Amino acid sequence: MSAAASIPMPDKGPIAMNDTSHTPAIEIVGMSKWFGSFHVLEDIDLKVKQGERIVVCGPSGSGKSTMIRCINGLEDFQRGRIVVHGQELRQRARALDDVRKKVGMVFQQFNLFPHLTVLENCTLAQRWVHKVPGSVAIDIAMQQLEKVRIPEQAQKYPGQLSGGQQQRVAIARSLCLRPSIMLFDEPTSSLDPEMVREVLDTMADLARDGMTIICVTHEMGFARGIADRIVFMDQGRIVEQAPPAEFFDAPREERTQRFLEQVVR
Amino acid sequence: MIDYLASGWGLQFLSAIGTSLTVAALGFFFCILIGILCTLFARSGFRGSAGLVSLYTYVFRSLPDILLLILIFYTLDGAIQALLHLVPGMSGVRLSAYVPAVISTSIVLGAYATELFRAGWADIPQGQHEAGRSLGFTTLQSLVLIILPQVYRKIIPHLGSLCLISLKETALLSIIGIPDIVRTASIGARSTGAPFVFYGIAIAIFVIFAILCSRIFAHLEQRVRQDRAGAR
Amino acid sequence: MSVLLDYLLEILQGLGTTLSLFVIALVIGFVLASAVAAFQIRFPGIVARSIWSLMFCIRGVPLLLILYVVYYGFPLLPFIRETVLWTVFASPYWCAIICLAFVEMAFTSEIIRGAYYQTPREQVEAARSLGLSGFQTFRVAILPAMLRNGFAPYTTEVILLCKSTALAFTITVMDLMGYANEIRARTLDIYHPLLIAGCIYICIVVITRLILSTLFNLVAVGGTAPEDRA
Repeated sequence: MSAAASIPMPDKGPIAMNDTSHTPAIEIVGMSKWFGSFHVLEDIDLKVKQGERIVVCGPSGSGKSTMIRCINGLEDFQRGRIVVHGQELRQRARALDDVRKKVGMVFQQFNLFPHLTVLENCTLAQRWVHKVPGSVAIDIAMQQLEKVRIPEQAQKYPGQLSGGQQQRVAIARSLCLRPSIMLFDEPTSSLDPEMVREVLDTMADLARDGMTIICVTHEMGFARGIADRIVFMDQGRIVEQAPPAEFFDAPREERTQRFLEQVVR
Repeated sequence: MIDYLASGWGLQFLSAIGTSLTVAALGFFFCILIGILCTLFARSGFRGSAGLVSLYTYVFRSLPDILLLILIFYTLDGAIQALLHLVPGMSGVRLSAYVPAVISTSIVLGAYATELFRAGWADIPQGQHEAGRSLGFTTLQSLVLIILPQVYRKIIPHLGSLCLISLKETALLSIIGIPDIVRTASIGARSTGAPFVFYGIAIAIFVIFAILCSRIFAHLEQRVRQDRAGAR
Repeated sequence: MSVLLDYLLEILQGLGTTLSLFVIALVIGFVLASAVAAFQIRFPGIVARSIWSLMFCIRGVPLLLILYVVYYGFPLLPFIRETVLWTVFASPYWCAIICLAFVEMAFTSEIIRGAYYQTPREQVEAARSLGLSGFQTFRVAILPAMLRNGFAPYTTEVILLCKSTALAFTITVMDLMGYANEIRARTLDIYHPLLIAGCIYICIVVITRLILSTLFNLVAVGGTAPEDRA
């Protein structure tokens, strides 16, 4: 179904073998979150190795977006812990800034800054957060824009681009900060169907380069082709996690089976 | 007309224009500051902060400006002089009336500015704040680099009218005794018996300012238009 | 306490003047503004542009200055001093009404014009395609949209006019502000008279808003196209 499905997966040896491989990229232990009295996330445990590619799926309202927003500190949580590259993420802690420098995030609604050009969108955080000199920031931005294959749009404003192009700029904007982990929150859900593919291809490129990825998506073809592991959530809990082959062909849980029947036809 | 201007009234008018423009510019600047601070306070999530700001804008936008000006001006004037008395060696000093004049103008205009900024702010999608946070911007950086430029773009036309109102508001200060354009014109009119020359000059000054104001802000709006082309 | 009551009673003597200034100027201003806006819409091009420029200039001049010109300046003009016009311009009250209505015209005409040009063209085309006449189209498609678009800015403008009436005291009209200011000058008590007057102004504004929104709901429900009734 998706172009990404046909991309050959690289050998993950070199990444898995490097010296930080003992610390997981992300470790979530017993995390719970409430909105008022509503239990959004219940006792989440998830360990993500470096270079691992996780696809999170599940029915809407299952808490999958909330979970990855917690990893980036966009949402508070009340119980449990999240450790990113050995650094614990506590509510309102200084550590949050360090974590955010390692974790890039791509949103469903792109959230590009409409008042800045594509290039300025990509250089703003470099210059002000990471204090990169202007010309270097532009070089890095152009590299990343080439990677997502739209360097020629650098001087345009987001409003002049298609949805797919905007989302690729948003990916480039995050990559400019050299994150070691990328979070995608339904990156293709607000795109017209003909633009989904260009964004998925871009993400597949990233996956091939060994980036640690957590992606919330409904694109099952993408999940099957790219993911090392699929995490299925329902009603604020992780119901099942398994490699794609096992997940799609032999789901253990009844809820997973029901979900797959609805999504994959 | 040339005769009057040559016989000293020209200088009077120049200094009156200076006074009015200075008070208007300071009032415009401070009222925008008040607008931004009140909006931040209203959005801060402190208990009752939004209600307090709404109360300020509602009351100040319901009361006649001249009533507020007189009230605030005399209160401040008294308070400032009393404070000066407390400072040793300053008891003989009288602070210029411009200080309370500027402050009271700013507070009155601040209510309009606050409404403006709150409306502009509310239009900015939550995602913009989140994008800023996820890229690691501090709250202040996010405010200055991401939020304010977008609020500015949304409210430029209204900023233009606020700028014009700032100058028109200075006319009220003539009632309090500040020698602004209107006061100079009416003194001139009464003392020379040629009211239409003096009132005519005053009207011309305001009309020229209104035209300049609308030109400048139309130009500013034009400049930020490009990023809206084909916007979603 | 009894002093405050005395102040209140004295200031309330100006209530009638304030209200009548407000209402008369509002009505005259609205009628003039409608005519001005209609002219601009009916005769686009040079006529519309020159009317618009004139209104723009009026909006740029402080009301206080206009009051001074009319009250202190006009009596010196022979054609006012020596004709029947003098009966009007000799009275500060009528000068205030004329000035308020004049300024109100300049602001309201722009609101009406803006509301007209915000009406979606498709609505008008749809009405015409159904064979409605020009007036019927206006009645069915344009007027309801104008009411919707113009209501909020017009409410703001009406409140502004109400507040502007307070300037009439500068040309010796004894309205709420006039009495409050007189007490202030007489007793050197700034706060009590002005705060009392302020409370009365706030009451007027609150009631005005209430009346306007009630009127709007009545008109919008009773007089618009059926699809707007929901």
